[in-house]
Amino acid sequence: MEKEDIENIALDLLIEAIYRRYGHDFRGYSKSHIRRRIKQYVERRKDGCISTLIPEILHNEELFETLLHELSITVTEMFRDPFVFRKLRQEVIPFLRTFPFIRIWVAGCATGEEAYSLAIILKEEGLYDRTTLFATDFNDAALEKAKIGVYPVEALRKYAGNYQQAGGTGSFSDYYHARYDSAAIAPALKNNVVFANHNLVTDGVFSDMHLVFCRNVMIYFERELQNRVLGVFTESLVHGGFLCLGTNEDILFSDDRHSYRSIDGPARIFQRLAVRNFR
Amino acid sequence: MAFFGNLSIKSKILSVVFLIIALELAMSAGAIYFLDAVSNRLTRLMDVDARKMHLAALVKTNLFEIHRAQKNIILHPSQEEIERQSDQKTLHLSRLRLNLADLDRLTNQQERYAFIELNSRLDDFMKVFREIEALIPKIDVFPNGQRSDAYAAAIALSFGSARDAYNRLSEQIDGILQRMDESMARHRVESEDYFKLALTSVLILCCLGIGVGWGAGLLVARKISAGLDAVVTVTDAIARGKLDTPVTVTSADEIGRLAASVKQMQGSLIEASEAFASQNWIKTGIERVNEAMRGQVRVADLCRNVITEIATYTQAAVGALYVVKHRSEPMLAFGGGYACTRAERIPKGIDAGQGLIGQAVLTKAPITVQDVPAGYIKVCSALGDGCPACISVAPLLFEDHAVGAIELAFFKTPSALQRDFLQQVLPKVAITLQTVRGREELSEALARAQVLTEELQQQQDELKATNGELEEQTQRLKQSEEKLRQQQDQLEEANAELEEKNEYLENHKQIIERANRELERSQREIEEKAEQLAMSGRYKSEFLANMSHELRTPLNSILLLARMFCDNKEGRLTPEQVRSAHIIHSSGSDLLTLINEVLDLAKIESGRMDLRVERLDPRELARQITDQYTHLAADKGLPIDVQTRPDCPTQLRTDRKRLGQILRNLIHNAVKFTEKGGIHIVIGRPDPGDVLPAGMRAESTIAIAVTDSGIGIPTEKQHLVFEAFQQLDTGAARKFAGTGLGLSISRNLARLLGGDILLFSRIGVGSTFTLYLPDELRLPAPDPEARIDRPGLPRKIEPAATPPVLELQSVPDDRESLGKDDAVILVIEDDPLFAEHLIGLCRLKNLKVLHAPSGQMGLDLAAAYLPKGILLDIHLPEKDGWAVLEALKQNPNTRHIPVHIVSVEDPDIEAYARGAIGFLTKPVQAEDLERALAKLENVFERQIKELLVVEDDQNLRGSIVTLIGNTDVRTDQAATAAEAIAAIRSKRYDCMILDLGLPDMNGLDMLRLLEGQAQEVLPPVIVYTGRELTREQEAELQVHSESIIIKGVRSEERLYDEASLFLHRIVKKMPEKQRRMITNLYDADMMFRDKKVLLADDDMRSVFALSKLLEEKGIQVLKAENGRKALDLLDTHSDVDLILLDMMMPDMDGYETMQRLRSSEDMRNIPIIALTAKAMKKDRERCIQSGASDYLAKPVDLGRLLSMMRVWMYR
Repeated sequence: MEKEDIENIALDLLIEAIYRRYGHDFRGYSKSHIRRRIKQYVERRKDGCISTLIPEILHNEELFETLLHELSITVTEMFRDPFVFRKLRQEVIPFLRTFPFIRIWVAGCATGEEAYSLAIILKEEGLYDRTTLFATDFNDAALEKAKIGVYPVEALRKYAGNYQQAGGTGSFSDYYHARYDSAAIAPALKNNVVFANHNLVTDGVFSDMHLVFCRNVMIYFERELQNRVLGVFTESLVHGGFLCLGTNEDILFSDDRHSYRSIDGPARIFQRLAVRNFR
Repeated sequence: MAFFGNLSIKSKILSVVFLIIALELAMSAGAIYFLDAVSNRLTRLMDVDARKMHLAALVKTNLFEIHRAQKNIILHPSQEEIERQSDQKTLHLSRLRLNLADLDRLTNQQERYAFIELNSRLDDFMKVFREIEALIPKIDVFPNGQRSDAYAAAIALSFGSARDAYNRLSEQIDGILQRMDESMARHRVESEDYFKLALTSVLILCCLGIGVGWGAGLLVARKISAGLDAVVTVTDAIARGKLDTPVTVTSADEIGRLAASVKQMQGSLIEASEAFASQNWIKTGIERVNEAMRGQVRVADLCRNVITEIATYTQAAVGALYVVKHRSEPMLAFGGGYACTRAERIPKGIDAGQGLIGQAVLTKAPITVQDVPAGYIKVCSALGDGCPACISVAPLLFEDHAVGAIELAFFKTPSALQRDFLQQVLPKVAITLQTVRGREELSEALARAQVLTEELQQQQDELKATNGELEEQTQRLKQSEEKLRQQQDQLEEANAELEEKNEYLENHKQIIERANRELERSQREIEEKAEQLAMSGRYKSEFLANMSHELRTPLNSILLLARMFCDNKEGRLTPEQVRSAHIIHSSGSDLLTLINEVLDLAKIESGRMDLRVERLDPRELARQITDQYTHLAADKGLPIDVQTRPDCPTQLRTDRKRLGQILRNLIHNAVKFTEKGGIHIVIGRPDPGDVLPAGMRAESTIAIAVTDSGIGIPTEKQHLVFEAFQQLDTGAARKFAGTGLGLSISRNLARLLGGDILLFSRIGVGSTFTLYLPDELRLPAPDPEARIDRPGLPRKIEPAATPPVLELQSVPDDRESLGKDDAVILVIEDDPLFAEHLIGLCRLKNLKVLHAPSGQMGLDLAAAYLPKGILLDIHLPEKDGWAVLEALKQNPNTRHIPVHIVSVEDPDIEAYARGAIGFLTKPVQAEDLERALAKLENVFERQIKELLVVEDDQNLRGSIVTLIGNTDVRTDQAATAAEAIAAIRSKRYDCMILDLGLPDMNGLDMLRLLEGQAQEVLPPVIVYTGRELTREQEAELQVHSESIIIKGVRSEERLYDEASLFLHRIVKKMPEKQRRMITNLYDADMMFRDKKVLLADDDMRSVFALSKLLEEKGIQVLKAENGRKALDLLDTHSDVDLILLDMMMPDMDGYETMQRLRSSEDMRNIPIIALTAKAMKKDRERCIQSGASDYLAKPVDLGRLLSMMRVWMYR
């Protein structure tokens, strides 16, 4: 048996162990992704291999916490892929305007940059006060950072460029207060943002969403889990609601593809089609 | 002594020396005194007593001598004698006088009397003496010796009186002498005694001096050495390290000073060692904290370890460590705790300047609070609890920045040492904290970088996967493009050819035209004849088709019954009878096969055989043949050998079923006509020498050759074997049972599949039937003319042909129990068994069923009941299915009813053209039927819909009607609320579009009004408004309406969308009244009456929806949109019975709300049901831990909620 095959078995067992022991379900995650992450983790520990990690993980909760942390690190930035946000302004915002109150779900918000990006756009479009933004992630540490909303100043500089390209109408500096080497997001942007823990793999739907924003999350999932998550989104969205995915994600091959129509191809914005058999 | 003790050692020694000298002096003085006294006595003894005695003795002697001399003179009065004697006498007399004078001088008082006596006696003596003396001169010695009288008288006197006087005097002197001797002896004894006394005294003094000197010396020595010993003991002890040995010496002397200085030294030593110990303690502490910090890579671990170590080391009762999250935003986050009880009350985050700890961070200075009030914080152990006395808060400073803060609570005010320790250790902690944080951030950054790469990689993977799929599609597209291009090339080629030909044709046109005219004429003749021929052929086929149907139906029953007999379940039949039944069954089966074959043949001939082209693998086919026929051949002892040639194509597109049928025939035949040898089947391309059927090319043809070693067919009869109803000869027919149709059908099928069957046979050697098929079967486009032509045909034959001879059996159906709103399905089916089956299936789907056993009855029922859908059989008595379908579609009342055909016939496209929505072939599978019913349902729901537009602006109203109105939707308009209410009462609408701003009534009020009237069923409402709504308004509108649209640029689009959605959806919602009825059934829920429930959820829609349902139960519902408002409400309403709490709310979430509730006295026991969308067990446990009594997953299931409430509100 090849070394890699053995490694795959160990990986499967580890994932199963984590699921049975702690309830965190990584079984639907992309194998290659999980393997790379866990290998990185194992290499950093400089000791043992995936198979020796299994018993340790089973018995050592603290070790698991570090592994979970490792598995849940994400990268994000404000107005990432600015053209997507420009398209949102052009195609989605006018439609959202027709709802008296707007509910937006940023699924897998990580440290909150995208949630705040949306908040800025909504603010500039005058919809912020009518909106509740639900920003969820399964990683409490990331959520905590998101809640605090403090980012390094140098990152903000990059975001400012993105903001301009995303068609920002104001001055980006209005949205944060910089001090020393960090910048804090303006409290006015935080009012209507609700950060909450939600695990896309195990948890259920959020009802009556008008926009679900879930970018670069599903790339980490296998097709089956992608289908499940997309199903959750489909159920969460109101009729005519929007779904925005990462620029490399698509619903082309998913079970729910017929429930959507494409609003903008490159920006991966889809609209939920009429629900005929609901309730 | 104390005084003595206080003297210095010098003084002590001096005083002892002085004492000894003094004693010596005293002793010397005493000795001298005694010596002197003794000497005096001796002197007196010698000078006085001895002299006195000597003098007395001298006196006696002198007297004696005097006396003797006088006597001698008297006695011996010779001149010479007298002279010598007189001298003697004068000498002694003078001496006597001298001695007596001396003696007198020496005489003391006691002796005076004796001396006086002496003197008197001396005087007596002297008188005598002088008398004698006076006589002596008179005494003349006579020469005769005769003495003169004077003599005599002198003698007489000398021997008489003088002697006496002398004797007495001598006696007196002896007496004196004796007394003197006695006195002297007494004096000597006295002297001796005195000497003894002196000696004793001196000895005593000496001893005393020695004793006192010794004693004093000893005392002083002891004093000195004791002090020194004490000091030495102390110094020894100090040397041994017992620094706390007390110095007991308190004297004021040098030792005292020594002791004092030792004490001082000890003091400084203790101080030094204490300082050393303190330093050591601090160092150890720092070491331990360092140890605890060593190797920590995570801030959380570090904090926990540090606080634990510091708290244990300083003996703090409770401790907490906070970490400044960001330098710019001095927000403190809880880092770690030590013995923190009620951890939930410890804030997870604190702003700088908030509270003591925040203040310490802000001012960068430690804060100590003494006398902490009771209840400030409690330190709990299993056995009890107590209040710390002192709280100490200190910032962790790194480069003058606070990176964190520590808070410790002490039972005792911390010592300076502990404070020192803290002061020294905290900067180190700060440095480590900063380092670890830096490292953590660095590793985080590293991890992020890795993750970024990882994400890119993942994205690439995703892209790759998508690309792969896309590529596949592109490949397919390319292929078809390629094909198109080829076709185009071919077309172009053909075009060119055509053009060429055109020219050629042009040239020959005239010739042809001429010929054409002739041809046309002859063609007309031929066509007429062909028509007649075709007609008769088709009549035959149609007849056969019909006949076989008629035959099949009874045959089915025969087979069914025969099967039952064969099974002989009741065991009443004799084996003979069972055998007979078997014969009936097998004969019936044969008959059925025959009929089927006849039908097939008829179908093929009448061109009604439908084909389904599928892809199949010839190798797979070979396997199947082997599997299927080996057994059959083996029964006759024949081997079957299937061979696939290497040149065999990998895939074949044809009708699998028909191909199977052909092969079955050929192989059955081969087996049938072979007695010995074997069957040999070869699949591959045709042999190069083969003569292919017309129009087939070797490279795109597959040949399946079935060779037997049977009797063979004579050449002249070879063409006959393919004719219908022909067998080689009657003999063979008898020997080999069979219909003789097989080969005919096979060849016809082969031709239908675009190929043919060729035969090569030699008598006695065997036969080879070779089936040639094209690789790909291309079906000719259906001929529209032929299709249109057919519908009439069956009727032409039928009317008189099938009189109603059957007794019609009606199956019991639901016509007696039909409700007004029931969905009814009409089943038109003459076979009662099957009809019953259908009815059962429909009922399973909650549909009511009507049954008609004949076409006419079906039509009557359809007209009378207007069912939602019809299931129709084709073969019916009186009027067949096609006629019924036509009649239904012609009647405007029944036209809309969807009809689904269920028949033994094969599916026919024609059925759809005539208005059926589906075609199902018997025998019917349950799933198929379900699909058919679903189809029916789908269609019957899609009727003409009624829409009501309530809008006061006429133009807008018009545009909405134009926007949505189409043939399916009938639109009514209302400009006012009154009109709208009237319209709703008059008719049932499928949807209402409502503007809120109406002239006579607010749209919301109108909805409330309509909702209040229970008899009305409100259609789905779409609120279409230009107004901005408040959350409360929206929430209430949501309760009454399905959708709210704010007018705007894109609103028309949405309006259209939503309206069509509600117009076409399948309504499964129960009418309000029915729902009420059901809720009334559960009115045992009296316990809910007058209960008060607080409902906190930020989603106002669910708040209103839930509260409406709860209010129906008689519960008073208080609503709050977040935790803070819920707490405010609870302040004023203390009589709430239960709280429903959403966990995820803005401002203050459910967890925090619960914690606050649980920490207040009043709310400690109130039941709280947590509403959460979280699925993981851990999340739910967190709810319970935070204080929830129970939890419920969202979306809320009302039944579960109520039962949960019942449990928790039960008192």
